[in-house]
Formats: sequence, structure tokens, C-alpha cells
Amino acid sequence: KGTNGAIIGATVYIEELKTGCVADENGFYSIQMPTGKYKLKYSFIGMKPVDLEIELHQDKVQNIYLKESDLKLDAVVVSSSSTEQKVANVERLNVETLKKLPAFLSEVDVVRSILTLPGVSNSGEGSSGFNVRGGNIDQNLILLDGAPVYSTSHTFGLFSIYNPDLLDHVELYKGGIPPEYGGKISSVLDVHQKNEIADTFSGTGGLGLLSSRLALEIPLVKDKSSLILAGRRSYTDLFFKLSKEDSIKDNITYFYDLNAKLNYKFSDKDQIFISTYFGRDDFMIKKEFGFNYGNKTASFNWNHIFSDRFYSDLTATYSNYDYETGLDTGPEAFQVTSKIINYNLKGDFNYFLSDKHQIKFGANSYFHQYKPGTIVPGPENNGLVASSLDDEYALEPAIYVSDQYKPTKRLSILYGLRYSMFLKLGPEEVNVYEPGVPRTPETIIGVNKFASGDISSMFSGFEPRISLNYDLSESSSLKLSYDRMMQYWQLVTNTTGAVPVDTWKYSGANVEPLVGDQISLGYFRKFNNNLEFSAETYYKYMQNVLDYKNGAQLQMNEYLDADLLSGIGRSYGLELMLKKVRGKFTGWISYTLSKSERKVDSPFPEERINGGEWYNSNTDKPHDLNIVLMYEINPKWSISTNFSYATGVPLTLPDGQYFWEGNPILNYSGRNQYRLPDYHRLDLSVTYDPPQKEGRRWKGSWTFGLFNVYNRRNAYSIYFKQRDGSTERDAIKMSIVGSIVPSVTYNFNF
Amino acid sequence: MRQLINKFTLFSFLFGLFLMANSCQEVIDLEIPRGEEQLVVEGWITDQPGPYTVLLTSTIAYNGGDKGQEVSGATVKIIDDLGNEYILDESEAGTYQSDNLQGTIGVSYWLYIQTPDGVEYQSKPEELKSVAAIDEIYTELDPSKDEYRLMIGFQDPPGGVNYYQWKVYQNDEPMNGPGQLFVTDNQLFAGQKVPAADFTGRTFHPGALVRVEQMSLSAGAFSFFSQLLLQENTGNPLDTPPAPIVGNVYKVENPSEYALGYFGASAVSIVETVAGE
Repeated sequence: KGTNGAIIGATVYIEELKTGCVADENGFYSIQMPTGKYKLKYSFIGMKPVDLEIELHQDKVQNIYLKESDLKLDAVVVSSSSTEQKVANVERLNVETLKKLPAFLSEVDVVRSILTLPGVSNSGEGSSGFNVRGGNIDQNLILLDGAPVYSTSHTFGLFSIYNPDLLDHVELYKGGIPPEYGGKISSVLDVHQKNEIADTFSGTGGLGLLSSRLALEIPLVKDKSSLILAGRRSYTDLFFKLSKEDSIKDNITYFYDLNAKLNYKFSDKDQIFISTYFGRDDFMIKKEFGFNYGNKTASFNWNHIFSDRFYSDLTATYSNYDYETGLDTGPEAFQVTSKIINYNLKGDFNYFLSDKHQIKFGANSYFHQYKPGTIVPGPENNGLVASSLDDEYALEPAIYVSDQYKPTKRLSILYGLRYSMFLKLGPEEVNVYEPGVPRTPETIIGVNKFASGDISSMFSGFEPRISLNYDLSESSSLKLSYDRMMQYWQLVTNTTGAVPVDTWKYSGANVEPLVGDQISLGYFRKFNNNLEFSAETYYKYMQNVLDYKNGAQLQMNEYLDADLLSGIGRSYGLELMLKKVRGKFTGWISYTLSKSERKVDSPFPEERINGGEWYNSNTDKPHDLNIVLMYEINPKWSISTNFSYATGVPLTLPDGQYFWEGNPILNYSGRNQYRLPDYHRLDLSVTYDPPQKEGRRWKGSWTFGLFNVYNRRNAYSIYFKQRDGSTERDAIKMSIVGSIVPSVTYNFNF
Repeated sequence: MRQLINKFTLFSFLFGLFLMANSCQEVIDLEIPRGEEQLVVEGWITDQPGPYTVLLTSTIAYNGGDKGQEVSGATVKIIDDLGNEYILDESEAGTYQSDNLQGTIGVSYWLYIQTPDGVEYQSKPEELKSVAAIDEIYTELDPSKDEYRLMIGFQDPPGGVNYYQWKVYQNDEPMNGPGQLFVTDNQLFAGQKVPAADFTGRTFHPGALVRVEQMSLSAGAFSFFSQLLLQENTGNPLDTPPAPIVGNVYKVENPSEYALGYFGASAVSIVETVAGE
């Protein structure tokens, strides 16, 4: 165990047996050895190693506290040791790594950081969320201290919701997803915030051009309990006020978030934490049109050690996402609100059966509650009648068991099974559509009414998972994995980029659950302890991917079921990564070659997309290259840079024109047949980190950043506008970031 | 409540406006290869006296001109479910007109076309549905413009989904220019007495003769107009990505292949007033 917090990937080495093991994500480890005297060496990068002699007569718990090394380290790039990297399908980034990356807008940003990894992409500036291996943004299970998060973005994806001062480490699974995770088919992004028990009062923070933040660590009970309070606010709107253009001047946009985390260690065997997050984005255009949205999460976790071989984690979480939008004044005033909530109860148990088997099992259940939308007219608006879509409820329980099995020194297998269920609950009125004809409001032949608590529809499925890792040699390994994942709620979006007002859709009488199957094969090779190379291929097949009928209105739609289509999806690709992990000069190059397609076919032409043929999905980006380089000039100055290049995302363009009642109409004959221009961008950042003045607690550093260095106007979308007094149209390219964005942040801690 | 169908598009419009206000836009040169040429059908039958007109054109290239290419020399017939066939005569190139035909409420109509190169098209039958009569009409001064807004009220018939379209005329001049298509479903007022409201968003000169036609639509026609509307509003990255607009005219040989455009049937309630009286 680490400085009161778990050190993941810390190694324990037994000299006599010439063997060892690696601590798991809770810092636990278990080794079996014959009784006798042993010399143990505990170590972790950045920590002073600890040597310990023990005499073993019976089972023994040995907690070790490693102290941070005083030595100035060579840049540490990826926290997990290579051993760990090989074993799991997880990309693990700790906060030290994230801090070394080029600061995007001078802040450590989780989502932007993972976008530099192979297989992870987004649709460019202005789009929220991220896509993993051709999956949609809602197919990622995003956890914040165990609580699911619905939206990861502030200010249309320019910032992510994670406060850098609280980050401890981030785990990303793109495949080989362990059975304890479920509910989303493409990836898991598990964000862990600091969980150390602080022994002194301290603070960290930053003052920046675009935003400022402060986090305080407050010891409450010595060695037992401490509290972290943190806050962050952006003030991009201050710059709008400087604008000469009225259309910009009167706009307000800012976000803020607040975090609190309390931990309490009752004994060596029991520890709890409570973590809460509250974030909000607020926009106001021309002092009339308002829009705000945000997440609220809370999680409670109790970690209990039963014995030296058995421990448990009990977690209760609450997640809430809601938005409010409308026009504040005038005869057209209206207010629209929507809210989605889930509660989750979860128990995870770890049992170190032997040095060959580590068993995990557990169960959890979500309770979902969704208010899809309520529209209320303003006092002067007499044309609009207040209306509300019915609330929806569901229960999503699951159980799982897995075994991390190490039959030989070279082979390790993580295999397991998850069984998940989804129960849509009443009160609900389910429209029954006439079979054999396209669904429209007119083909409703009846309504099934369900009382509160009744089950209106039920789904379930087994989700087998297996991942194998085989060491070919000391420095190379192969991995192979297969996962099946089930997802019972999807985001339905029909805009070019996902927006914060998109509609969620639970599986139900007219919507089948999304099923994802993925196989992946990877090769890992290390060269002279400094260079790491990995290559991975994958094939993913998706069933029941929700799509929408051409021209469908998705928000505030009482007959949404009739406007949805269900299709299949496939994506496949090759991901390459070369990483230099030590020395003054570190970084990586990642390249992804991939394809992501969808197919929506039906006996009815109006329920087909592109004639029922395969077509490029919105997330399809065949080439995606990222180069991240970091150079430490001297202990005070370091420089880092990031270059991204990607094929433009698919786009629908008109390939003809016709007239209706004399008005020109563009004819778009197929969806996603063209592409936006390629995307590329270079970022630079420089950090000045002077040594701490002696006798002073205060330590400061400066980060200077340039985002979009060569001022490229990457296209966000292309649209058409009729020229005044002509039937000719202009094609207009719209870019969210239209210039170089400089940023400065003064970071401090005390 | 202008353009009810756009009640929520208004949101994405404003939200998009925000994005646009804070982003940069430039006109670019875009070469788009011309797609396959397609037949375009525009025709309507009502319960009002004819003649009814069917226009046949074909698609032109993007930015390829200000009118479609007329399709001349086709055979065009309106057929009803009572077994009657009415042949339409070509009055000018691409324009076909009926003779001695008036639509009847409750009867279904469809169109048959044989193009000069022998390809047969047919539209799906459209039932001519009755429409609620406008029972309240007056104009109201819009002080910001010194013009008058048109307020109309009616009783939405109970039971089921009803669709409406409005066409407005000022001194007999149609006011249905680009972006001025007024359609809605009755989701927000199903079976209710709809109090007088401004459905069309147009304003009229003081003293002008204002005529409004309230028309019934089928679900298919409503869907067609909704698609047209969505596309007219494209110009904002948060709008629904444009898509081919599916009408109701299909190839007889391969019914899953569609022509563009629509042949519809509507009952019409016509009311007139004078702006400011």
C-alpha cells in the first residue's frame, strides 16, 4: 500500500524465489510461498524501494508504505510497469503522466489525453464525448469514483468535466473488458480521484486565462480521515464582452464544477469514501435564449478486508444529468427541461484463491429514472400548450464472476461471465404497432397500459469475456480477447455532432437491447527497456444499433418509437503505438487504420438507409495519427507538443437539385457519402517549474500553451445557404476554433 | 406558435446560432459530382373545384439553374378507388391538367405516370380526408411592423392524429415563398378547441384582403412536408443531417425505387378577412 493510498502496479519481489507479483487496482497483492525466511523488495517508479525481511510461519498481512523518491526522476510516462501493461487490456494513465502531456488550454484534460491513444477519436472541436473503435459516444461506460457520468464535456467538448487537481489515475479499456464492468458495449473509462488520507493541510490550484481552480486537502482525524474540497470555474464570457460585435458581446458562457471527497479509515480492515461532483454549463445568447446543463454524481464506497485473502468493495452511487433551455421573454417564450437519473448498488468481492487464481465476483443493480422532456410556455405565449412526455423507469441488475488464472509463468487468462437483465417498469403506456407495416403514429393498433411497478418488458443476456496473455519472451507478449457486451440504453442523436440535448432511449417493447461482440489480437514488444511497441487488431460487430428515420424529430416526440430504426454495425481496424518511456525525451506515436460502418435494412424503403447497403458511420475516420513528444530541457523547463491528423468524418452532400412549388430543394441521395476535409492540428506547451524556495511551503509553476499553433480552421460542418435573390447556393465551411488559442496558467501548491 | 413543427427545432436553431456566433465561417468552393437524374412529381387534388395540376420535371445539378428540366410527352392519369380514371392533358411542357374532376371526401386517389421513355410510376393511394373548419378569424396589429398578424381558431376533431397545412394569400397573391411552409400535427391540441393563434407567422398590410386555406394532410404528406421543412432549415450544423426526401411516387417495376416529389389529397377550409377590420 502506498502513501495511505493504494499504489497500483507496485511490485513485490521475493529474492529467494526469484518471483514476485504486482499490486491490483486497490493496491492489494497476494503471494503464496513455503514457510521460511524471505527478503522482500517493494518498489514502484517514483517511490523509494523498501526492503523487508520476513519470517513466514502462517498467513501474514504485510502493508507497506512507500515514500516518494527525493531523486528527480527521468520523466515517467506511463505509470503502469511494462509487466502490468502486458497483462491487462487496460491503458492506465496516472496524473503524473497526464501532467506531462501537452496541456490543452493549459489544463490537464482527461478526454483530450485519451484522444491521443490509438482507437480513440472524436468528431473534432465542438463535439462532446469520444468514440472508441467506431462506437458512438454513448457506448462508453464512464465512471467517476464509481458513479456513471452521462456527459463528459464542458463548453462543447473544449474542456472535460474532470478537475485535474483531484485526479489520481484513469483506466481505459477498449477491449478485453473484465466482467465486473457492463452496461455499455464499446469501452470503459474509469476515472479515480485521489483517495489518500492527507496528514497535513495542503492546497493545489491554478489561475488561468480561461479558467481557475482550487483544491484543498484537509486532514480531519490523524491517519484516519481527510477531506478534499475543490472548485473550478471558466470565464470565457469575459472575453466576449471585449468583442466589438454585438452578436458576441451579449453572450454568456461559463462552466463550473465542485467536488468534495471524504475518506475515513476505521481500521486497517475498513475504509470508506464519499465522493460528490456537481457541474454545470451555462449559456445565454443575446440575453434571451438560455441553456444550461450538467451532471451531479455521488458515490459511497466501503472497502473491507475479511482476511489476507479476501476483501470486498461495496459501492452505492447516484448520477443525474439534466438540461434546461428556452426563451426567457416575449410571446414565443418557452422552457424545456429533461432529466435522467440512475441509482446503483454494487458489491465486488476479491478472493485470492492461490497464487494461480484470483477470483472476483459481485452483483449490482441500477434503478433508472428518465424524464424525457417537459415543455412549458412563457406567460405571454398563448399559442403553446404545456406538455410533458411520460416518465420512464427501469431496473438493470447484473451478476458476474471472473478468474484471473495463471496456469504457467508465461500464460495468464482472465475469463468470466456476466449475466445482465433489464426490466422496464410501469407506469407505462406502450404503443402497439400493426405488424408487417412501417411504424407510424397511424399504424398504432392499441396501447398496453402497465401500472406502477409492473414489468412492461424484460431482456437478459449472458456476457462471456475472456482475455489471454502469453509471454513470448522476456520482452514480448501476445494477447487475445473476446467480449460480449450488452447495452440497454442508447443515445439517439440526429445532429452532425452530439449535443447536450440528445434523447436517451431505454430498451423496451419496440427497442431491442444493443449487443456488441468484439475480438482483438495484440502484440507487445519492448526494446532495451526504453522503447515499447504495440500492435492490435480488432473486429467488432454490433446488433440493434439505434438509428433514425430520415427527417425524424427526436426531441419531445411522443411517438419516438415510430421514428427509430434498428440496424447493425461493424468496425475493424489496426492500432499501432510506439512509445519512448525513459530519458529526457519521451512520448509516443499512435496510428489507427480503421473502418466503421452501419447497415439499416428493412422490407420498407422508408425504413432503409442508403437502400439497405453498408454505409460509413458518423464516427468513421480511416486514418488517425497522433504524435505526442515531451522534452525536458532542464529540471526547470520542459516542452511538449502534440500533433493530430485524421481523415475528415463522413458528410452528406447534395448531388442534385429540384423544385417544389418553385422553391429549390437540394437532393441528398445518400447518407454519409462524402467527407469533411482532413483534420490536423498542432499544440505546443511549455512548463516552467522552478525549484521550491527553501523553508517555503508555496510552490508555483507556469504553463504556457498554444492550441492550434498554425491556425488551421478545421471544418466542423459544411452547410448551404441560398444567395440573396438567386437560386444559387454557397457552400459554407464552419469551424469552431478559427484561430490559434493561447493560454497561460499559473499552477501552485502549498 | 409559428410553425408548430419547429417548436423544438427552434432550440437547435438558437443553439446553433450560438455556435455560429462564436465560430468562424467561410464560403468554400465545393465540387460535387452530379448524381443520377430523377423524376420529380408535384401534384395535388382537393375537394375544391379543379382543374388540378401535375408538374413533371427531372433533377438538375447542384447550383445547375433556377428551374427543373420539364418532362414532356408523358401519359398522366388520376385514378380513384371507385374505379374511375381521369386523363390529364399536357397544357404546356411538363404541366398536366385535369378536366371535369373534383375530389370527394372519403375517396382515395392515386396518380399513374408513363414517361416518354416508357417507365411507369404510380403514387400510393391518398385518402381525401375532411378538415376542421376555421371557426374564428381576426387580425391583430403587430406594433413592431405596423402590419397585421392572422389569428385563426378551430375545433380539432376528437380521436386519432390529424395533420394540418395552411396556405395564405394577400390580395390573392400566395405567400408561400421559400421557408414558408406551415404544417403541424395535432399532438399539442388533440381533440381540443384550439383558441385563435398565429399559425403562419406572416403579417399583412392594413386593408389587405387576407385569405387562408386550412388543409387536411395524410401522414405521408405531413412526413413529406416535414422533410422539406427540415431541409429548408438546414444551414445550421445542429439541424438534422439532410436526407433524400421520400415521397409517395414509386416505380411500378421496382416499388422500392422512388421518384422525388408527392401526389397528395386534401380537403380545404377557406376563410377570408380584411387586415385591420
